[in-house]
Amino acid sequence: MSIDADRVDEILRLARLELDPSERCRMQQDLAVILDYVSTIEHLDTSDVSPLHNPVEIDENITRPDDAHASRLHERFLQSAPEREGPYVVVPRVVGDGVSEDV
Amino acid sequence: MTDTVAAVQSGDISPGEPLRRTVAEIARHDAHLGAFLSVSYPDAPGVKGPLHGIPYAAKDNLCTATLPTTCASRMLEDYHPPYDATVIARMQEAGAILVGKTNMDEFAMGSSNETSAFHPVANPWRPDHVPGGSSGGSAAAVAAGLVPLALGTDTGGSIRQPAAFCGITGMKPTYGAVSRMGLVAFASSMDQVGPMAMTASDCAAAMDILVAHDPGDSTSSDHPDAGDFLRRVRAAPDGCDGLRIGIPREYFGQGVDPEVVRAVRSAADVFSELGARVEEMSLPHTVYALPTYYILASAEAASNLARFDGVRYGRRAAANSIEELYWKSRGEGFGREVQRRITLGTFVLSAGYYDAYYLKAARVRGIMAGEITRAFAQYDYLLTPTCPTTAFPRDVRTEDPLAMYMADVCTIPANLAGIPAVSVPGGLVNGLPVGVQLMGRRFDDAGVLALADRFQRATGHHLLGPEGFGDHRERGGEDA
Repeated sequence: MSIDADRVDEILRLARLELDPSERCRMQQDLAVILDYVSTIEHLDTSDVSPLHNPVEIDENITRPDDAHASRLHERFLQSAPEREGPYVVVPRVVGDGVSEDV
Repeated sequence: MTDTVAAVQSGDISPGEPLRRTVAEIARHDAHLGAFLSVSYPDAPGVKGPLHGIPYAAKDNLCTATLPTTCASRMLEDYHPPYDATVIARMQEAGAILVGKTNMDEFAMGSSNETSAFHPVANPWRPDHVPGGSSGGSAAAVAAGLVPLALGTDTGGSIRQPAAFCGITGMKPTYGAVSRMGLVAFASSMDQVGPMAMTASDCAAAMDILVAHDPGDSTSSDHPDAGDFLRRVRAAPDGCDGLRIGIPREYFGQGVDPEVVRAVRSAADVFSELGARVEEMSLPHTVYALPTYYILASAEAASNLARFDGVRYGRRAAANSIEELYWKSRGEGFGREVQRRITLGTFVLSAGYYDAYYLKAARVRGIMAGEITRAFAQYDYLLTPTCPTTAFPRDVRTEDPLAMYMADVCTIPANLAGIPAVSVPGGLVNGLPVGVQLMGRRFDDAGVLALADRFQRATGHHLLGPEGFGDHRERGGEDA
């Protein structure tokens, strides 16, 4: 199937991927070829089949008891952060900067 | 490897001896192979346990507290996980020694190790050919004798296909048998960790350590049949009397090298001679496995890789706003194939396309899994090629995603159905190894390994090794 440039831009926006124009053009071509190929399942009659999302049937949520406990790894997780301030991960201003678009 | 374990435990060799050998072999060969992304040698030979003193390598998408975990991506180039994956912790408790992290296709997306952001891996049998992927570094390291055992991961064939290309034995366990806690997720409904080694019995020894229920992975199973692998493999008789083996004819269609077909047929003859009833049969929906997989695996990848946003860990691009930070970090951090899968996955999940692609593919997966389950009412095991061809030269498929995807056409059904599957060496074609795949019922991992072991008792294909490496195998050998 063909997929137009606007649609590719919309998908890249949803995926939060910034590509330069030549990469975007290439992505559009690759996507068209791959979608053509995967569309071969289109004509299969699946009307009376349930979707299989996972080979393991999980009937109920698996949870642990809701007990508070201190994480020994807290500091190590913070060390992975690209930028931190004390116990916080620092990011560019989120509120009131006038740059963020609606998400 | 099981011989080395016995030698260490009886005191015939010192517990430090296998590690010394691995250090020397890596120093001698890895500059040419490129199998490792990081190495680290401990001073002590590990704790006393079932794998005391055995050096092993782990694919670089398994979290390790002592070594970086990069997924062969710029996104995680400097990432040091805070903890060990459950499988890494279990190997350590068993006395095995982690010596390094192996190269791979970026985020396990690829079939040739060429999407690694760092460097390619040479196939030890022919250096200008690919080792397969995505666990290409693990396969090459074992094939070249650098380590007796490596861990890989398999979402669509990423253990079995490189095992086939490099002439070793690689096992994808039943989905749920091995914990995925600490594995960087690609497609969560298919990802499995598994062993790669010279023989089926070595894989069984590793499975004894790897398979266990883990409360840290909600899909981890406590199935009673999942254990005691090596003992069960060794206890199996040499013959295959009473076993029914199906050969699905759809795996021998267009694009399968006739020489590969010949090698797989001669493996089938071995099982017939051992007393198995070997029959051609049909799994007509096999042809839909590849398109189904690429829709589902890409959708899951798009969702799983959303976590790489430059905020808490991984690459962060310079940016003035949080949106710009997401966009730029992901644009810079991910390579082309990963971006392609994220884009495809986002598309098939997007409003207006979800029903036609994602939901449709999930229903086709239901048909295929049902078809495979029904086949196992008539047959105990299925025998197929692991890959339609032997290893291909580097660079020939990188510009054509569909040609690359075809390398996984025989391995994907086992991931869609969650069944165990092993690839064993089936001889050489034009000097390159051919893989034979054996698939079994869910949680019959021990049976699959026992069948592979019987093949290896009856043949010598697994003893062949590439020229110019270690002395643990015979050299060269004749074509199949």
